[in-house]
Amino acid sequence: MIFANAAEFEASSFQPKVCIVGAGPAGITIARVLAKLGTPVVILEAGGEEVTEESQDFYRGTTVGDPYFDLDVARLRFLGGCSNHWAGWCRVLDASDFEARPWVPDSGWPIGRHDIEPFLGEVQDILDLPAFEADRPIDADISWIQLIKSPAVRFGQKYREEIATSDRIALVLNTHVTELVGDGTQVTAARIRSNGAPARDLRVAQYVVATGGLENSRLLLWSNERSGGGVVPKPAALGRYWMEHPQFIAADALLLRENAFEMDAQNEAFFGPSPAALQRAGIMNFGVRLISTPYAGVKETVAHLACTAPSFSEWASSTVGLNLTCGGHLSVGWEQAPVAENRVALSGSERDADGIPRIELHWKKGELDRRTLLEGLRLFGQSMARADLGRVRLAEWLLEGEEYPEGGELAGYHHMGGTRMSNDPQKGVVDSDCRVHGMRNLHIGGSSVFATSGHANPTTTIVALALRLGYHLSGLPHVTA
Amino acid sequence: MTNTSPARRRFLIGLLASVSLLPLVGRLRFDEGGFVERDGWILRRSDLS
Repeated sequence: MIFANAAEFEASSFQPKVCIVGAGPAGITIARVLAKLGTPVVILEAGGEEVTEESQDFYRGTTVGDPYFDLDVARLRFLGGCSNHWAGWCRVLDASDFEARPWVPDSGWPIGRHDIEPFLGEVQDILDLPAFEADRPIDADISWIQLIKSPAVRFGQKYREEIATSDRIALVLNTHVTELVGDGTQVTAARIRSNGAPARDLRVAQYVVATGGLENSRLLLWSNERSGGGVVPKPAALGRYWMEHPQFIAADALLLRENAFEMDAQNEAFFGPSPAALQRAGIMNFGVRLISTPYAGVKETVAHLACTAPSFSEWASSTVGLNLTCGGHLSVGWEQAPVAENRVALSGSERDADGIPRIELHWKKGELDRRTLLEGLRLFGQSMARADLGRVRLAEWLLEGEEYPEGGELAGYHHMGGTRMSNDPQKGVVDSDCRVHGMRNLHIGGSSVFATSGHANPTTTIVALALRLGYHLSGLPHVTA
Repeated sequence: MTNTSPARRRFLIGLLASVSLLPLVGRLRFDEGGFVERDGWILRRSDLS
């Protein structure tokens, strides 16, 4: 069932047991699981079926620290959420991403990759993915890795009909939660506005906040402030450990061996490091994207190499003449170190149309981030040379310790952390079941629960975690009763 | 790109031959693992011999 506003929903006799806030990939996935297993659920979607300036305005905010995208551009507030501008790139977090690493402070999830693997088959169906493939080692340090460029499922489009015809899902559009009301042990109500006007409070057995990797923190921060700690009773990490995937073109490569590894339809290939190499280098996880350049770009790279290593260039000239396949730019996206100071905060001066503080995002890349980029590319370059697949040239700005270049890729539009998963309430907001510490009936869906981010695009893992949460909720006594 | 045309091959070889006569300048960084970093290029030591 789809309702245009809260008034239409209230006029129905539908009695949900679970309220999901947000109709993005996580929210819709959780709702579909619950409905499949017999639980009536309501999804509250702040926007309508199309993007509007009025709705996007709620997402404006400011960033303190490093340059970042405008916050109302970096996410979408309508049915389907950020899947509406998602590029469709898919890869699950590596098993090692879940583990605590001595050289990465505050790393480690309370769950492992094995906890989400049972759901990956269903993830493939949801995201229309081909089979996942194993990494293919180039040497002990670097592997070719699969990064699936999927058709980019728009959740609002793909699942609209299923939701519209479901008698167990009520999707209420143009309706958002302004605050959750809680007593420190459970949420007692969701305070709602619909089409710009207050609506009746919603009271159900379970609440799931799935409004995105920035908005989850904002809603909980505001709710907790209003209720005097009644929504997140252990708030030490609330809003904190926010992470992105910084990404920059930081090197060039000259490839010397034809068909050395698989290139995709866009003539790109992806590479990742082994856990042992990361440990040896003491850096975060990273992914290298080889972007093939036209012949003119290769010519320039070859000329520079010849200036640097004349004797090598003699060998290269014969090899290049016979076997040159391509050259390319190397874009590196990496796992940002989890740092408590990177956080979502409530603005002290800016408020949205409802009078709720806008986001003030504090975000900076640190020393470990910079070292990951440089030493990660060194690992990659050495592996390419060792295997004689090619040679890599690091960018001048990277070697000289200059500022990150402006006008480039900057980051992946991946919003992670803020309500991270940890067994320790000082380090995280939710437990291994995505339940807010100390709260009986409040769970979180989406990448805000990521304890660390790996380098993989997050949507695949978001959907896997959402499936896991959906099945978990469906087994709770007061949900099934 | 897959096959190199004869014209392109001749051009590349000529290009390399000409620029390889330029003087060697730039930063040099030796790595413990047998690699050399020169002007940003990550090379095998044997690339410079």
